[in-house]
Amino acid sequence: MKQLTEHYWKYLVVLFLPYLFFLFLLVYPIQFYLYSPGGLTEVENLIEIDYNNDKITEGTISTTYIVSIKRPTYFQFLLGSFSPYTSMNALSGSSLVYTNEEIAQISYLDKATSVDASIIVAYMKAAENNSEIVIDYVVKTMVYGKAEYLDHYDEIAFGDEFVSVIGDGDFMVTDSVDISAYTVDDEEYDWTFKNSDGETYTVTLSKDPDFDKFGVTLKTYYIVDEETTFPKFSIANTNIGGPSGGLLQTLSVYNMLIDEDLTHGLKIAGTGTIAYDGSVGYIGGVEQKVVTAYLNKVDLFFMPSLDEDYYYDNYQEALRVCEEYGFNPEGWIIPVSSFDEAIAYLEGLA
Amino acid sequence: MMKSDSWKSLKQDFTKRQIADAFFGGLFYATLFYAPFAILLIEMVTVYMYLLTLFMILIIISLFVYMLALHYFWRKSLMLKKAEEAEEKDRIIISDIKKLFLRNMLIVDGIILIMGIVFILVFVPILWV
Repeated sequence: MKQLTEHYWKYLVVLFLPYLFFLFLLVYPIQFYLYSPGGLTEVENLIEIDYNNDKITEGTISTTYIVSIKRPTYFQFLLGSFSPYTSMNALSGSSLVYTNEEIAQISYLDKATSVDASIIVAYMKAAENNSEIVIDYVVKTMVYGKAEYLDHYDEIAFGDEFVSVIGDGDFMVTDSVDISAYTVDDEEYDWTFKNSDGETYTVTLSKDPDFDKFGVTLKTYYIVDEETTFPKFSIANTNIGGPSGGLLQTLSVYNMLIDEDLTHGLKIAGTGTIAYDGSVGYIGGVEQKVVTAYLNKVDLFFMPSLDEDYYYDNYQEALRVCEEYGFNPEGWIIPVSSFDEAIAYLEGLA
Repeated sequence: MMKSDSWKSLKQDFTKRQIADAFFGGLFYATLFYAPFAILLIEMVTVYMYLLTLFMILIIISLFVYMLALHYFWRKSLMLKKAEEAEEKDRIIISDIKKLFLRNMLIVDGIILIMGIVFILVFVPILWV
């Protein structure tokens, strides 16, 4: 070690500053976000259902993921500018406030709850023609957003369940809808939450004088009751976040529950969130998702289409992307607004 | 005199402490040299995820270069130690370090190649769920 250092000393001295500069480019984050194409993941690898095990599915149903880098390094930013398929913009809104870790937590919460929504919608649809299938769920209100001024910011985690708040006149509020009506008289209230380990904790939250709010955003989710639901299912750990796989997850789960094979031997992919009523919602990163689908040579790609007159309608965006890159969208990019519409399209292929 | 390319002969030329010290010196400088390139390649993978397999192959090749650098600095360090000693004692090296390290490097490269292929074919599909 000593001999090497002595031998290369002059090189070490000369290269020290350029080396540090190079490392700086590689590690220093900047306030941008970057989207680039990703890949496909077969839903069967994520959700496994113990039913129809002898059924042969000839095709595949996959969700589409893209790479989303919040606060890339200078070098990643430079790389992105050389890629024809990458889009980059300055961070704004809540993305600017949250750390990368917090953004990831929200993203995984979205993914987990979208899987539950997919199972609920698919099971309910399949149960219409098969009385064996039972789906039960519970309603939970969870922490989805935190403002900078929220008290006990670090104690309250994304995904923690809202249990209650002791409101005016010591009334115990357990429904999030009633919170604003019962938190008028005082500045501070005791809130009780349940964390991911099932432990409840109580914190005193005060209203911010400027916003007159506590700074916690709650969202209501339907969570599958695994005890009573039939058939049983298992969900693998995932490295991919976000709710945009909802529609394709629902299609795949439904296909696992019915006797027919909806895939018809095709490589099916797509994007779009799923709501509990089976309607499909918009997603971001349309350009990168269309490119990902094209590069992966999918046969069918479902794309949310809710209003053809709306400029940012996902399907209209997809058509513009195809025009920009010279892809022919005919026959493979399929506009859908609901889960039922996607099923009807696949059934129509028979 | 015919030089030997065995670890035994290397241990006759150098003490265990000298070999270990040279190894850690080599590891330090090879890592210093390789670390920015490793970060650079990982960042390339994140931006060009759709070319994942290509970049995995590039990472495997870069690990070969890392091993080359490690063995180069390891050998250099040993030679410098011997040069220092030679001023005090009149000793010659009986081991063929170049050949010994080349063989060692090829074995490690083979292991890296197998692990890389397993990673591409088995772990990537599992991780990207």
